[in-house]
Amino acid sequence: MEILRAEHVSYSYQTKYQKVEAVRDVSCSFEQGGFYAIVGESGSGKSTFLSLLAGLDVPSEGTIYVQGQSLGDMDRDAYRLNQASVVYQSFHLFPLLTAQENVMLPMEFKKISRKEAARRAKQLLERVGLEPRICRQFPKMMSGGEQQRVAIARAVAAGGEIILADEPTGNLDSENEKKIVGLLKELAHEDGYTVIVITHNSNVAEETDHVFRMKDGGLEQVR
Amino acid sequence: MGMIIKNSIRQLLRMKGRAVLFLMLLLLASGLFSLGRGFQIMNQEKTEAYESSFQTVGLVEQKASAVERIEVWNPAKGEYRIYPRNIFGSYHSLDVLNFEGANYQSGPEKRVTYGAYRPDYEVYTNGGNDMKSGLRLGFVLEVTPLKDGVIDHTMEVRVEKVWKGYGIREGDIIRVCDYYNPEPDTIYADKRYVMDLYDGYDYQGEGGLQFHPGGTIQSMQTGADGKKIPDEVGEDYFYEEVTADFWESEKSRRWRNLLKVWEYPEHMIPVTGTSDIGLMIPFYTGEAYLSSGRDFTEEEYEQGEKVCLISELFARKNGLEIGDQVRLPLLVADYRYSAGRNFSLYGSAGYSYLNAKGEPYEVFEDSQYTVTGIYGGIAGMLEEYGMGYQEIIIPSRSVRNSDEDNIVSAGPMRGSTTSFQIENGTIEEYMAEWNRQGIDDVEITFYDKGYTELEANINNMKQIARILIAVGVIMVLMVLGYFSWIFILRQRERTAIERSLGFGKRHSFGSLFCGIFLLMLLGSAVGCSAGSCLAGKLAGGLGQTVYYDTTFGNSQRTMQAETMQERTEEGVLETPFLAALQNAFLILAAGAGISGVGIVLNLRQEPMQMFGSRKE
Repeated sequence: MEILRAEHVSYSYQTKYQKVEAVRDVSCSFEQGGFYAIVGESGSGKSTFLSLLAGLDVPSEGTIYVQGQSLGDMDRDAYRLNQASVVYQSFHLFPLLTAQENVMLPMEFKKISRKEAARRAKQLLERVGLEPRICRQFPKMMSGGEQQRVAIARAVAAGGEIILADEPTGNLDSENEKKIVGLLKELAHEDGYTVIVITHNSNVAEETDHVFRMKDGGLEQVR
Repeated sequence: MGMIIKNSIRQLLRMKGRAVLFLMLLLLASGLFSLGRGFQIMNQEKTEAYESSFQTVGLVEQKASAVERIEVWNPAKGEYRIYPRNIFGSYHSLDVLNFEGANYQSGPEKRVTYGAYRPDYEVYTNGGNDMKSGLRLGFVLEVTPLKDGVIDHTMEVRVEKVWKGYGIREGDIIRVCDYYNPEPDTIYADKRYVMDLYDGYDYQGEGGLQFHPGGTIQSMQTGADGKKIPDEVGEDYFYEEVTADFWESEKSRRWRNLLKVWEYPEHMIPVTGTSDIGLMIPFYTGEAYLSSGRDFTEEEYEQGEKVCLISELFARKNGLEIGDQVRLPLLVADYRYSAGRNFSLYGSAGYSYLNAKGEPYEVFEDSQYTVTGIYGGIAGMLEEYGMGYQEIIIPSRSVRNSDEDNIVSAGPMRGSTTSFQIENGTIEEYMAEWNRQGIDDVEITFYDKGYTELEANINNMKQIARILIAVGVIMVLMVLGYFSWIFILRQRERTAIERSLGFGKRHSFGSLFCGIFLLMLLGSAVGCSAGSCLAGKLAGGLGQTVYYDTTFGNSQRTMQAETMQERTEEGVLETPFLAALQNAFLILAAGAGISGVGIVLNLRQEPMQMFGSRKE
């Protein structure tokens, strides 16, 4: 079932010196439970496209559809809260909250009781392979791999159907890279999440079901 | 929203060190600011209290252009008595005080003392009996000299008839000398004379008491120009030969008139017209004070309404109360001296009630005045700057008829009769303008009940307040600015994460704002309360040392000073609470503004811009 579709999406922005066309007339679709990779060189527009898919920015032209509904007509904050979560290369955890609190936050925001949120957060952290002791640790006390797992747990905690991951293994060693990719694959194939990974790492791309390549803002399906 | 607030506080408290430092610095800054504001507010209150409690009045006195030495031979003592007499070229009019730059709050005015003749009122002690029993020293006698002689030395005369006066009987031998007359006449033993004599206190020699002329047979009438109108009988007229048909002849007209008006002084009530009782020194100093009723209203002064203030004694003696009517037939006008100088417990002014033609003055205005107030205090002590005995005060404009034919005395501006009020603290400005007028023979003496000294203290306090406020404001802004940078601008990533998690802008705003706002609320509330309380205590302590006026030491003044102090202390108690609230509100508003701007700046960027990854 198609969950996310881009139709002739372009995005440009003005810098101090020039107009940059970061995404050019991109059309593609993503199925539920699919594990996708978007690869390309630095500056090819991958992350910008991801931010458009996440509703963090608005296309200059074209439309993104979420389950057939135009994202432009939706409340983008609600979309991110309920349907699409973003995982970043730099993890972007709240530095002043513990691992458990980081995971609890989107749940609490969705008015799930603190007690229930704590219980689910513990489960999720366990699910992403973190030991219970990590729960009370602050991000700076954790390794990169651990932080990324917390970030993925937080993305899952939001309870959406789409996980958009921007270079999730970019700051990890190969061992952690494998674990994170495995985790994302598991979330796609076992839990039905649509996982879209931005990467320039061929090893990561190889693990996905479908691969798109971005070049100079344009997108083509490789596999 | 509760979750947003809790989360905001939770994250803020995870920066304990910075949060505590922020709180402490904000406490200090708020305290300083509030201390300064407290001083400022209390200074303002004090200034306002002083403005209503203090008046700056100027007393105006024309100085003599020369002093003449008068020598009077006292044959009884065999020596000259020397008197100084001030010489004035001319009298300045009040117009000299109306110069550009003179901003009067009241006046200037030169008060006139009128004499109202009311034989039906009891004015002087014991209905004038004191005067009858010898306190009044004038006599109208018919005498026969024992020997012929020029009356430039002590001469003995036999009293043939006592027309007026107490204590002398017919047949008595009394001693007479015309000291003041440079060209005295010869009187003869075979003739009879009618004489207007006064008891010569100062002329008691070996021979005992002597009488001298100088009574009221001669007119003192003065024109509106201030110059004495020449008496038709000339100067130094005090006796006349009594021939067989004297009392029926035209020659005796003046003497008959004198006998008619002889009792006038015993029933003469001093009436002073003013445009502001605060310009009258006894009221200014508190020596006289309203004990019941009220002062005249501005309109009554302005419109010259027929209203009056009477003394407690006068009211009591004559059964008068507030609202009663007092008829005041104004007979004479004194442009020279205050009632305090001329009307005492012992009797009224020694005016001559005969005009230059030897006729009794006629009432020039006769009106009913309504009593609006009764005043108490010291009066009738023969003090130029005091109240006259039983003095009645009326608005100066209430006298509508001309008194130019009834002026019994005129003189220069005197401190006791001429005064004005200016704004407190403007003496120097006034004097700078006055000195530019180049009038050297008019002296102005200011009384401000110590306001100038207090003003200096207040100005010092104001300066301290300004410094504290400036330091407080700078510190508050620096603290708010620095910590807004730490707690907000440096938390851009947090905003970006929240936004990417689906937090709306409103929620992200709340997430950053709530925590810092609560800290600001706590810091400003405690700091401002402490600062304001401290200001109240310090100002209260400082205030007590300067409230008492040292210029005038009478009891009424002290009473007023105490009242003022009590009032100010009440203000000191109320001020800190309100001031603290205001100050905390100001700081919170500033803090909310600064942090709000910071958060809005954060939120203006899309999350990906904040993460800096859009260009991928």
